[in-house]
Amino acid sequence: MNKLKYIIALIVTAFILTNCEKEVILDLPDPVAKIVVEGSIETDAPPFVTLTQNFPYFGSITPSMLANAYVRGATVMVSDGQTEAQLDELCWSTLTDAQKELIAQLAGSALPDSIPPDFDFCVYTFFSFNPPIVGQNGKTYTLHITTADGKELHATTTIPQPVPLDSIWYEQNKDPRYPDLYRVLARLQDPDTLGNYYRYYTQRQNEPMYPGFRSVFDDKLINGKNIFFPLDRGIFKGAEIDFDTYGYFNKQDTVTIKWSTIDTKTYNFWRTLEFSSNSSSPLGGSTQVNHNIQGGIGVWAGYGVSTLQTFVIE
Amino acid sequence: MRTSTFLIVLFLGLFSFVSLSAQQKYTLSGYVRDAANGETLLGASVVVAENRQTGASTNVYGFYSLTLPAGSYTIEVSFLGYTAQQVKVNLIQNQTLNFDLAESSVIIENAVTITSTRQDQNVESTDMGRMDLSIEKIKSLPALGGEVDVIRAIQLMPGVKGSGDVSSGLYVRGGGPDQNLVLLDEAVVYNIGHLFGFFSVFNSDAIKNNTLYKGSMPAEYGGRLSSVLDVSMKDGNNKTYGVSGGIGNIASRLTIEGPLQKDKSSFLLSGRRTYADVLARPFLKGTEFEGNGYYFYDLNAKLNYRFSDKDRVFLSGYFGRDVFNFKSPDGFNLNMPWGNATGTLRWNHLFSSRLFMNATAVYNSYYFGANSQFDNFSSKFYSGVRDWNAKIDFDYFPSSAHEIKFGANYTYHTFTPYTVEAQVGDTEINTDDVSKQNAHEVAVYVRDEITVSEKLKINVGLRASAFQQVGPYKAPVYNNEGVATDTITYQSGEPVATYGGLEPRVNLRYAFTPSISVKAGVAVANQYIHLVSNSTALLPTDLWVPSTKVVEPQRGIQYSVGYFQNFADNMYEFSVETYYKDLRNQIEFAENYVPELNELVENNFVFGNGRAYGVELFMQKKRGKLTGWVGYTLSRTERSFPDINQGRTFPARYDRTHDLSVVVIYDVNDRWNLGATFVYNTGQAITLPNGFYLIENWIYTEFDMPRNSYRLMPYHRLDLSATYRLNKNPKAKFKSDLNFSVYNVYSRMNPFFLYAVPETTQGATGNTGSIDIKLKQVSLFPIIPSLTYNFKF
Repeated sequence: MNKLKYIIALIVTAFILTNCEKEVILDLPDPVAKIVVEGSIETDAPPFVTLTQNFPYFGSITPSMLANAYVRGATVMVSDGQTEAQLDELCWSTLTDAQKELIAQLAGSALPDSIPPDFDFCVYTFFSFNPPIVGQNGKTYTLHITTADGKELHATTTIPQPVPLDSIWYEQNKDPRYPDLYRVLARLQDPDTLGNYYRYYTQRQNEPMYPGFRSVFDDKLINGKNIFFPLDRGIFKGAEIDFDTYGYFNKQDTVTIKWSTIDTKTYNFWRTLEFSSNSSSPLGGSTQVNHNIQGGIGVWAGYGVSTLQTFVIE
Repeated sequence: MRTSTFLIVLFLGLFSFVSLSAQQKYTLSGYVRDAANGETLLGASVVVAENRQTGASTNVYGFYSLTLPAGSYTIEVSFLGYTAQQVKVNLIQNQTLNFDLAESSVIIENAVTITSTRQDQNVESTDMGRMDLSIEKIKSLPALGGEVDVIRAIQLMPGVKGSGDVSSGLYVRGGGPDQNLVLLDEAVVYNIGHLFGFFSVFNSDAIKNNTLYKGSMPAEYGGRLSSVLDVSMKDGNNKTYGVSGGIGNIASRLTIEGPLQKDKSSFLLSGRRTYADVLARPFLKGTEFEGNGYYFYDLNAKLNYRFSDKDRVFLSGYFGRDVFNFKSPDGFNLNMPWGNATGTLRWNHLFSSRLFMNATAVYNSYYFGANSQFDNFSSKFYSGVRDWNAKIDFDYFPSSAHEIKFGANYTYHTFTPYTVEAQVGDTEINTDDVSKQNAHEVAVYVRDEITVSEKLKINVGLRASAFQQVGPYKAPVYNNEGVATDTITYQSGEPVATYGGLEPRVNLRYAFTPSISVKAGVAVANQYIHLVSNSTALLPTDLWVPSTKVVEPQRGIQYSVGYFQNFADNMYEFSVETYYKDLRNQIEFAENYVPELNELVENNFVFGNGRAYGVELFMQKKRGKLTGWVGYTLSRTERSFPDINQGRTFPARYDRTHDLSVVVIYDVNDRWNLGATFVYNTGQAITLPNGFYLIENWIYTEFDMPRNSYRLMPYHRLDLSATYRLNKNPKAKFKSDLNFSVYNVYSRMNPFFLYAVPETTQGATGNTGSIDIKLKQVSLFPIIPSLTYNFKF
C-alpha cells in the first residue's frame, strides 16, 4: 500500500520535474520558541530523554548550532506510579574518557572512530548500572520536566505488552540487476483485539539503529491475522534514496531487527511525523504532528521490545 | 414551515392569475434548428418584431412556445452566429412553426436577412451569473498542448477560478471544488479531469453547448452550493454523413455523425485518445521500461429518434478512462485505471403546444482502481461512486407572461469508500468493516418566470430536497482512543441518517431601457454529497462521501446584485455583479490528517463555516472581426473552523484577491484566425514551514504560523494561437485547418507549490557536516508550443 502511494506521488512528481524548480527566499515569522522532547523507555532499559530547542527555519545548520540546541540543567523526573526518580544529565563534552567508554558499553557498541571537535550530545538518563526505574511491560510512565528557566512539561506513556514476531527470514532480490540484495521478511500473529501498534528498527553491522521511512503501523487491516510482510532496511533520513535498492540489505550484512509494540499516542506521533516529513509534494500539505508532550513538542514513548534478533545474510 | 406555506400560497396565486388572464389566446410553438445538420439550437430567441418585449427563448431541447392574443405578427428568430429569420404569422389558432437557421457565413438565397437581431439576452433575462460559451468560441482560444478544453475556457470567466496550470479544479465564487454540479447530457460527472486534472474529460468535438450558472441557479438544478455546469452533447447530423477529427501533440480525435433516417434520426460517435504510450512502445521493447505507460481515452456516443413532432427519444453515453501501467525490474507490477461512465436515456414529449415534458433515466459512475502484484503480495484497491437517477421535467408556457418549469428528481447513490483486498501469501486481508454507503436523494421543484411588466420580470422558484442514507450498512463504534470496538448493523433499506430542506430561489430584473437593467437574486442550496481534497490538484483518488450521522449536509445562501448594460446595438456587453455567500457545514480535513486506506475518511473531517464576497466586472465584444472579453474579480473567501487555526478565521486556499482574464479573438480574413488569452491572479494562500526541530537526529519541519497566511507568487500567463484554414471556400465539402498554439508565451515560472528541503552538505550520519534548509518553488509548465491539424468532411 505504501508503494502505491509512493507511485502516485511519483507520477505527479514526474510531471513536475521538468527543471521547473527554483529556490525562493521568503521572510517568514520566527516560530514560538519551544522545548522539544525526545524521550523513550523500553522494556528492561532505563529511560532516555533528550531536550532541544526548535530553530527558526532558514539558513545553514552547523554541528555547533546543534550542540547549542540542547537544553541543559533541566530537572527531569520519571515515575512509574510507585517510584519517582530524577534523571542524570550527561553531555558528551563534559564526560571523561572512561565515562565515554562506559556509555559505549551501555549502548552496546564501540565508540565511533572520529568525532568532530565541536560535536556534542546531551541526554538525561540514570547514569548507573542499577537504575531505580527500568521499563516493564504493561506499566505507565509519567515524565515531568522543569527547565532551568521554570518551564514545566508533562507527558505520559505506556509500554504495551510485547507481541513477538513468529519468525524472520530473508529472500534474494528478483531484480537481475541487483542479485546481491536481500529482502528481510517477518511473520506476525496479531492478537485478536483491535488497537495493536508496532514500530521497528533495523541495524546493519554496528551502524546506528534506523527506522524505515514508514516505521509504524496499526492492525486495522490485519487484526487477529497471521501475516508476513517485508521489513524495509532503515536508513539515515538525510541519505539519498535510490528507489531501486531502497529497503534491501546486502549479502554478508549482519542484520539486527528491533521489533516493538507502542501505545496509541506514540503511534499517532510517529505516523503524523513521518507523513509530514514527506510533504515535499503537492499531496503533503501542512500536516500538524500529534505531539504527546504538554507544554512542549515531541514524544515520550514506551516500547514493548520483544524481538532483537541478529543474523548474517549468507 | 411558515415560509413554505407562504411560498405555496404564492404559487397557487400565480397559477390562478395564469388561468384568469389566458383568454382568446393562441400558441405558436416549435423547434429552432441548424439548417445544415438539424442540431437543435438552445437559447435561440423568438420575438414578436412589433413588440420586442414579447418573446421566448428555446429550451435545452430547442423547443419554444409563445402564447399571444389572436392577430398577425412578424416573428423574428435569431441565434448568435446564425442569420436571423423573420416570418409573418396570422395567429388564429394554435400553430406549430419550426425554424431552420443557417450559419451566418453560409449564404442562403432568398433568405430574409435582417440587421437588427435580438442579442440582449444578458440584459433582458432574469438570469444572473449565467455564462454561455459556445464550443466554436472555445475552439478559437489557445489551448494547452492543443487540446481544446471546456473547463479551462470557463476559468477565463469572472468569478471562476482554477488552480493555476491544473484544469480540473473549479472554484466558483469562493465555493469548493466539490460544490459544482457538472452535467453531461443530464448525467452527473464526478471527476472532470484526465491526467491528474491537466485535461478535462470533455471532448470538444462531441460537445454542443456549455452553460455555467455561478450563482442564483434556477430551481431545476440542485445538490450543489456554488455552480452548475450544464454540458450538452451534439445530437448528430440528421441530414448528411460527416466525419471530423484532429491530430495533435497530446491526442487525436475522430467523430462520425449522420442520419439513420434523414430528418428523423441521427447518431454521433466520437472518440479521443492520447498516444504517447503507443509511440513509445517500440522504443521501450526489451528495456526495463517495457510495459510502462499511461494513456487516456474518451468515447461519446449518441442516438436520437424523432417519432413525430411530439415525441423524440435520445440515448447518449460517455465512457472515459485513464490507465497507468507500471512495472519495476524487481517484479513489482501495477495497473491503475480510473474514469467516469455515464448513460442517459431521454424522452421528449409534447402534451400540447404549451406543455413540454422531458423524462430522463441516467446511470453514471466514477471508478478508481489500482491492482498491484509483487512476489507473494497482491492487492486490489478501489473506490468510487455510482448513481441511478430518474427525473421528470415539465416546461409549461401558459401565456407570454409566464414560463413555468416543474419536476422531480430521484437518485440512488452507492458510494464505495477506499477498499482494499489483498493476498499476502496464504493470508487474505480486506477492509470488510468499511462497507459501501447507499443513499436516496429526492427533490421536487417548481419555478415561474413572470413578466410583470415591460420593465419588471421575476423568476421565483422553490426546490425541496431530502437525503437519506440507508442500509445495508455497518457503522463502526469507536472508543475514546479512536479504535473501532463495535459495529451497529443496519438492514437493507433501514434508514441510517435523514436530512432535508427547502431551497427558495428568487431573481428580479428591472429594465430601465431594453439595454439597461438591474438584477437581484437570492438562492438557497443544500448539498448532500461531499468531496474534500487536501491537495492542490484534484486527484483520481479523491473520494465522494455522502451525508451521514457524522457528516451533515452543506448549506449555502447566496445574495447577488448586478447592473447590466449593452452598447452599440448589443455589440458590447457590460456587467457588474456583486455577491455575498454564506456557507454552513463546510468540511475540511483535520489538521493532523494522514491519508489512510483502512478507515472511513469522514473520521478525519472537521466542520465549520465559510463566507465569500466579491465584485465581478465583465466587458464583452460579441460581434465583428475582433471579439473577446475582459473579466475582473475582486473577492475574498474565508473559512472559520473551531478545530482549525485555533478557531480563527483564515482565507481559503483558493482565495484570490485579484483575478483578471483578457480574451481576444481576431478573425483576420478567410484564412487566418488569431486568439490570445491573458490571465493574472493573486497567489494561492498557503501555510509554510517556518521552524524545525530534531527528532532521532533528523530535522522535521514545523508549521507555526496562522493557516494560509502566506501567498504564492502571483500567477500570470499569456497564451497565443493562430488558426490557418487550408481551404477558404466556406461551401467546400472538405474543410481543414492547422492550429498553432503557444501556452505560457513568456515562459513564466508560475508557482505550483513550495516545499522545504534540508540539504546535507557532507557526512551521512547527521552529526557531521552542515545542513542547509531551503525553500523550493515548483512550477509546472514552461512555454509549450503545439500544432494541431483539424479536418471535417
